[in-house]
Amino acid sequence: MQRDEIQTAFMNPTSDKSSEVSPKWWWHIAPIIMILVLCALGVRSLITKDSRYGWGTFGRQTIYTLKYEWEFSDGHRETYYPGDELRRDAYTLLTSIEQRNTRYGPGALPVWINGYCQYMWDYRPDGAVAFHTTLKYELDRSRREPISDAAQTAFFQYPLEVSP
Amino acid sequence: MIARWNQFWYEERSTQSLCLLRIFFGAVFLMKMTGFGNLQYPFRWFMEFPVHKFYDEIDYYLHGFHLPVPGFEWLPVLNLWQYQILDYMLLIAGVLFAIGVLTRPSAWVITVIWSYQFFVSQFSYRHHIMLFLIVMTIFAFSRCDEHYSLKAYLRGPDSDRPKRSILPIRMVQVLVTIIYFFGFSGKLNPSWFSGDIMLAFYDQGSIAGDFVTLLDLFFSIPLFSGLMELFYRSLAWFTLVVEGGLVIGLWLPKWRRLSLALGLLLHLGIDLTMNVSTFSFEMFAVYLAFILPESGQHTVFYRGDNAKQGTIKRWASLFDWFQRFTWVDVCKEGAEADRMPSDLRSIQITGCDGVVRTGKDAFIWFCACCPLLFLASWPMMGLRIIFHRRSST
Repeated sequence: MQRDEIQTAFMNPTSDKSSEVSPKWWWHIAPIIMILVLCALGVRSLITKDSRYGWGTFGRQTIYTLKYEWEFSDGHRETYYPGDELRRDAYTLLTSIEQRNTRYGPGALPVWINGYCQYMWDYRPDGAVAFHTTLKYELDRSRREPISDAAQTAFFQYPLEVSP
Repeated sequence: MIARWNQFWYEERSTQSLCLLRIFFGAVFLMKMTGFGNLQYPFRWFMEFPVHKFYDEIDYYLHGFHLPVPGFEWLPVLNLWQYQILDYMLLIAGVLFAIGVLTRPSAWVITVIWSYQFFVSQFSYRHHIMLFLIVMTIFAFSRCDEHYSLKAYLRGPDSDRPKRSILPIRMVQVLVTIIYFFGFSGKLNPSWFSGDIMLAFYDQGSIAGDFVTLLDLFFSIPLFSGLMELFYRSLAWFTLVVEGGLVIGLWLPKWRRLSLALGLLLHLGIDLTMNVSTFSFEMFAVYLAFILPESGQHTVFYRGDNAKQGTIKRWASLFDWFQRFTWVDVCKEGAEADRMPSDLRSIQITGCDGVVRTGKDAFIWFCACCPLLFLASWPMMGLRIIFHRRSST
């Protein structure tokens, strides 16, 4: 390889000085699909504030607490503490016993919680009409103090409409 | 425009860079599969063959609430024993992939098994696992075993290897750019601008480890205690600047080396202080996609009859285990006298950029040409020293 060719190859990888290339049309699909999918996942993570699948880990650090309740047909509610249906990572993220934190952004929490509410509905006790979750969270703060009253609160329920 | 697009994605090149990437990525994959973790707690390292993600039913979340990725609810849930068999398969495939035997089938095995583990539960999601999955998929479709592999070694000299499309390397380069772009975009918020986020990480225990213990000791000295907050805020600003800069810097030839150096520093810092599994090592490995020169392209002229230069050559060769430098003894190469420097008082390196360097400049060039390989050659160096001693006796 001549010196100028070497220089071109190293210093300017996008140079068009070397031989012309014309691949078959289907070869163009791979890079286009890769760019579209990765960019779509990245934009999705920015919009939903859920950095999973979008490379935005550590953008926000979310501290949160969870409270689960069964609502019964007579209107009363009973607090529920997760059992062994939550294991390992699922337990770490969704236990209601203590304050938790996640690096994946506040948008990931509703996904996990909604999924858990749906899952629990299949194992509902007799007379239960809905499964409720109360999420309190704050962003980018120390966990040495308990979550303050100023924390943002979100409510989740499954099924969405409680039958009479 | 179309010509430039074609040139960018499909130009035909030697696959040496891709094969280097395969070795290093394969090595990182084996780190993952043997539990050889990150630098956060280096004194707690242990290796298992393979390391299992789940050891007992109490931990095994596929039998409880596991939340499949939407669209993949149909995936069957394996029992614990079957899941552990997958770990063995991954380890075997990882070894074959790294040494370059049955490379593409091994890459397929890894891709398929990791896809299963990735999609069967949203709790399996980690950035480093997604990065493994994407890069392994690229490897599964590419000729990544034509150099630096057992298969290539058995096949004979490298000279008859055809050039291939640069597409896999470009895809990795674009992937790295996208990672930094969205990593940077996700950090554009007041907590990162003020640096508060790092203090929150520290308070929450997300920043921890043996290195952090040393830092704590340092900041416990009254003279330096006031600097702690500024230090952690500076880390946030450094991260923002480097991640943003890498998006562009890696593509600019003049800035590439500085970008790679800063990127290495960034990921080294992350790895020392945060639990990110093998993500930093994966990023180190994929940086190889930006180091394009092929083996032997840097020419070193030296005098074999000069004891000092001969010693330098022997020592430098120990580090150059991918033979990126062509060593030319000017005393022996009489037939190519027109290429030789006329008065060679010290070693001369003609780099692939065409510039001639001597003395300290040559040394710096040697180190800077392949910093990753330079670091990675340390373990190999021990083996080479033994080999050299034996051969010299």
